[in-house]
Amino acid sequence: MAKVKIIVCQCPELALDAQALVSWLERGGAEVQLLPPLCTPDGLMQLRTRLASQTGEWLIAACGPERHAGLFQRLTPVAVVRVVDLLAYQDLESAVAALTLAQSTPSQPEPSIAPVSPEVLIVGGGVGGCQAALDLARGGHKVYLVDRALSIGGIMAQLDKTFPTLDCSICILGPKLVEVASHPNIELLTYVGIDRIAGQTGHFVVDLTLKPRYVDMTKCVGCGSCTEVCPIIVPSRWDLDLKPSKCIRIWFAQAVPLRAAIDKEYCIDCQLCVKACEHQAINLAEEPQSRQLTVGAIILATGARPFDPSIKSEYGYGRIPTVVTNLEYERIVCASGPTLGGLVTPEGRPVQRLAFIQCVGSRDRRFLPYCSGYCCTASIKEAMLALEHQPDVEVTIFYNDIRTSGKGFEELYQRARQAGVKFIKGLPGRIQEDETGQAVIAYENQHTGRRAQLTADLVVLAVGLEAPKEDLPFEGPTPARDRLGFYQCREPVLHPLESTLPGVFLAGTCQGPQDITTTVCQGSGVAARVLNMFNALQGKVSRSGGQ
Amino acid sequence: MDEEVRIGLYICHCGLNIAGVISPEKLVAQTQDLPQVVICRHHLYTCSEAGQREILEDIEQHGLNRLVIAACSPKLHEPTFRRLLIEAGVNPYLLEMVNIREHCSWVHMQEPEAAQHKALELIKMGLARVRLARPLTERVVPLYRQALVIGGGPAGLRAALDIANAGFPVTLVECQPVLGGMANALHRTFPRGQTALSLINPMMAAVSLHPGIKVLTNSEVKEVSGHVGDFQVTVRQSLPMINEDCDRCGQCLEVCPIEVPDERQQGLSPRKAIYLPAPHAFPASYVIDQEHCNRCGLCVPACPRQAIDLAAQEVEHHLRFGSMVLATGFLPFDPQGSRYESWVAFPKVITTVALERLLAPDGPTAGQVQAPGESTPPREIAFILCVGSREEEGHRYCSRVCCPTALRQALELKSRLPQAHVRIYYRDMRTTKKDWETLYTQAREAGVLFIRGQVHEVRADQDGRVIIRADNELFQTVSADKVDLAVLAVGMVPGRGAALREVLKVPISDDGFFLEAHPKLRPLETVLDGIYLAGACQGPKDLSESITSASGAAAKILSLFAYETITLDGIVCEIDPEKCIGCETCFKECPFQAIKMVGAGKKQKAQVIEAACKGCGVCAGACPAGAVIARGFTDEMIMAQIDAALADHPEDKILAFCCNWCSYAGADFAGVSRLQYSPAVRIIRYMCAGRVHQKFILRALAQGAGRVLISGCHPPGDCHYVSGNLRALARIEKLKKKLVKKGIDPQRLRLAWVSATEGRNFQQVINELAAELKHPTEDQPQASDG
Repeated sequence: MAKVKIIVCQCPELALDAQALVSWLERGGAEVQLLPPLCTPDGLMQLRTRLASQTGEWLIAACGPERHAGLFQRLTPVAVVRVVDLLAYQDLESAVAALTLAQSTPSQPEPSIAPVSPEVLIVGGGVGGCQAALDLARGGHKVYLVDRALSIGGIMAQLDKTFPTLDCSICILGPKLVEVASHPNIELLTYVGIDRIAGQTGHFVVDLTLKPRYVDMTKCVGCGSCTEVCPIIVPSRWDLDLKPSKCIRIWFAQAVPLRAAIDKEYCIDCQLCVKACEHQAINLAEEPQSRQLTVGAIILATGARPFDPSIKSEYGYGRIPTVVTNLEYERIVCASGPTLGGLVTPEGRPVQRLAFIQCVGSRDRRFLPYCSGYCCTASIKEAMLALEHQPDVEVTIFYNDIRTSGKGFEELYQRARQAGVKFIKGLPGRIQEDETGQAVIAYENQHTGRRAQLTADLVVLAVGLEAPKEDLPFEGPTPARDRLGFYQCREPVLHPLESTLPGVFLAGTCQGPQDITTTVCQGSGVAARVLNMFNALQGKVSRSGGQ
Repeated sequence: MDEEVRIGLYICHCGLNIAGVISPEKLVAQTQDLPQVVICRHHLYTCSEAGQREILEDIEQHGLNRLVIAACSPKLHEPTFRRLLIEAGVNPYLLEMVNIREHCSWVHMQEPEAAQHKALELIKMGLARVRLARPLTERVVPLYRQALVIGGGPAGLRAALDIANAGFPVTLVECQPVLGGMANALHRTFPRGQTALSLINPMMAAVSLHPGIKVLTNSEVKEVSGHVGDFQVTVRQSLPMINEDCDRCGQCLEVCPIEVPDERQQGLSPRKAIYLPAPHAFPASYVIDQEHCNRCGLCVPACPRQAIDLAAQEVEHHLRFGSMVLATGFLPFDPQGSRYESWVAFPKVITTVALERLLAPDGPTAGQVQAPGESTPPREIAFILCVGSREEEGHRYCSRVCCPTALRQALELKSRLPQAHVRIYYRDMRTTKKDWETLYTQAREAGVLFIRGQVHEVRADQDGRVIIRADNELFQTVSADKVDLAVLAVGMVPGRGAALREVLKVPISDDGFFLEAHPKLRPLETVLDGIYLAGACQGPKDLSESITSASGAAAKILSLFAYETITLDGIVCEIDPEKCIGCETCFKECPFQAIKMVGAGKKQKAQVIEAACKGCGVCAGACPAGAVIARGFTDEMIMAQIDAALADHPEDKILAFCCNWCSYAGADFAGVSRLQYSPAVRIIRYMCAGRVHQKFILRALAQGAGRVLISGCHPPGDCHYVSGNLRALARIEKLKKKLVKKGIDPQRLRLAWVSATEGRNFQQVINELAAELKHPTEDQPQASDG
């Protein structure tokens, strides 16, 4: 058998001495050459010359596929080229061992490829999942968009306004949700549980449970008559328990799909809804249904969860009613929320003095050591909303660093300052309730060095986002998580939207906290990655170049 | 009109939602004999399968060719009934949905009689409109499935690869002699400190080798015309004076007499007029700096491959593309010519870009970190953040990447020069991404000193060191510290692509970067269909974000290219050349550059570029000659609705013109929220407030309307068609003055901005106007004249 010829790339990322590696291999009898970095013109030219001059087997010790992306094999249609990722080795011994092993391993036979399904599963119907779904559907692929909630829309649907433009959130999101629901290439499955994900890239088999709404989706018209007659009052989870709802309800006014559902946990089986429904759409005996999907790629757009600040007991969240989170504040000021947009405390009292506390749980080694990125600009936006609702409200923002880094964010910060929002550097130590029920914030102003107290009618804790703990039920290896708990990407600069599992992609906050714009970019970006993967799997040859 | 109009009118109960307040049976009795109404029925739920089935049967049996559904908001079920019409073989644009739920039964629950009457009038308005509706065809335009990528930096490379890998030809135009963009200036990247070369070069190599990508370097896009699917582009290329035979032997270098500062090395070392622009970038060839070359010709014989030809030539490429990506990147802020100029006058004050060169092994000092002019490494090093960013005057925006860049460089300095002291002067430390906060933590742990406060002055002192005078916020003092090297963390400014603004007519935001179609939900698109944005040309981004956005832009193009044609909806405007007087008003006002002037001089006429038209009707609202046919929302249709609305007791009525996207939705939301308001209002829907023409208002006032309300999206940014609301505002203001002159009470005309969740606002506006009608405060007569 002809000897395998080895080429070692003098990559600047190499942790070991390439020259020493070459000498060692030569001493072992290998035919080896050291070339300039193979991705530079010089290195590429020299590699090309060698590959053209001799057929046979070549072993290239260079970088991993996340960098070379098959570049070397494309240089020659004839010779067989195998690549070993030299950057994975920190010392000469392991590198030599890997290369020796690679030399003696015979060429791999062509793997038999299971039939590739061109369909895509997107887990999560927030703005990221919806964007990815639309881009893929428009590109001709069938998409299953599943969400465990009763409606798509995610957290963005719960916001009042978005920064930096102060656009109404559901107004700009609503049409996208409707488009997702009506696109011929998208099948929307809401209120779904995923039981099992098996298979591999190109051919995943996914078992779903469609949970019973006890309402027939084909008959319900979203009229709300059932809700009116239902005698059971429950907290509205969509309104973060700030508002009562009924046991049978439409999730929210602009929900997609706009269909009622019964929370069986509270249902007393009085059947008043059954009688009220003119469409006979209610079926109290509905059973969960199973569904199996076969897809070629999976996109995880499962989002992130707001940090629960109860654990920071010094702030009194959960104990002091006038201390709320930023998402709860959004529901309060939202025109469709529990107070119909009135700027009042959860107990209904007017708000004259409003305070925001940044970095609650974030940049804190005890809880979330990282920055969530969106909260500074979000609080500034929320401060502007307060001024819109009530021009004479006094707003103070306690901060560590103001991180308005994003297009238009710094300008919003300046606007807020000019509008009279006060910014105090110094994260408060404690919040207490006084006799009148107002919140008293104890803080140190780092600019003056003095300690002081601020009394406020409403305190908003700007909490960060943390990764949900639940893992999806992959039968084999699961996509890895980084040490912060978010899904780990394959490579942070080149492949931020690919998980560590081939065929499973990432979009949105499930890979790290960020704002809506970044998530939307990623939704489209991940669509391109999936389309690329399908093209590669189906061995598409590029059409002839030139005009 | 040719064929006989045969209308099917269906009135929905919507359970009790409508029927609880209004009697559909009574409405049937009142409308079934109206002109051209062939069939009139009521349903419990018209949208249900049973309801739809009956309509389909009616269409077939009775030859119906128009459909009016009096039910909920069109925003809910217009697509449903359009699909029904298509199934029945009728043109889907021959449908009118009359909103008697959100706009009637839900908001007048205490006034059933008034609601009943209003519902009847709304139906008559809908009938008036649908009689004039004409079949509209969706436009199918051919698609040249070739893409243009402007810019060969990391974003351009990624976009080109993603599109070409899917099998579509790409032309990549780069103004520099080499690909790579600003990545060529980088040594290492964040968050992991990997070399830019190892990350970006493989992409450059892949692009250079890709049979589907044609790379044009030294090229610029000079002219663009056309529209999505068919852009005609002229690219001017300066042919290189050194051809591909160049093998970089360097012999020409030795004989060249001209020496200039090397801009790649930030001027820290010289280069010749014949030089290699970037040692590792593609295409790899020496180039001649035409600006400094004195044409002495010594290099020509020196080249063993005879690759040099000093005759400067330009060639023009005339190309055609279906779509394009702008990836023109950024430039680092240059302190020269700014208020920081005096700072960098001293050689020991450099920028982060220059420091990157000092850190690079192929830099001016071969990787030795030394202040320019010194031979030993610096002991005290300071970074100053936000130079050229977050300024009160000048660049107001934050450049996003400077904090993590400075931190990474600081960490590298600490590791290379363990004896050095590094400090960072900052205003806010913006390590906003999950992976960046670690850099800050590591820097603090490595002993980097952080001083929060504005830096006022940086200058040389007598002993040749650098003095930095800054506020120290923590200690409430002003410090004056001496360092051996000061590094200014300069921000990002828009790249060379800004010149494309004139060529492409792509709008620019206040900060100078390209404007996206919508900052939250459409960050990769521009308002011009088929032109997408990737990378830092849209706003400061790091490498990872640039590359992601480039894939995103590619995805947009791949969805376009998945088909051989593009279908655009039928609601477009058309200009009647007989009536057009060539005044150019529509041409100037169109937010989408969708109108062109054809012909010359006095004979010139406006013409709509159909593929680019969005159907907003701003042109129709502006036209003084009535030459624009705004299909789907013609002048005649709107006038007919006005007449039908004001036929009876006009003085008691509020005629409200609502834009589809915001105001109409706001009124819907008032309905959904069951906010009650006066039944005096009659709503006419159109796509944009910019559609409003003064003749509509004058007609309504002439008919005796008590109040006329024009409602649109909040200025400046909410308008779905960019600036339609601003056009409306300008027109209304002009009209009000005119009304005064005519002796018409200008109070009868009102403008209100209502967004889609402002149900309460809509309720308030209507109730205010209704109160005015009941108790007129002015002593002006209510009836109109003139």
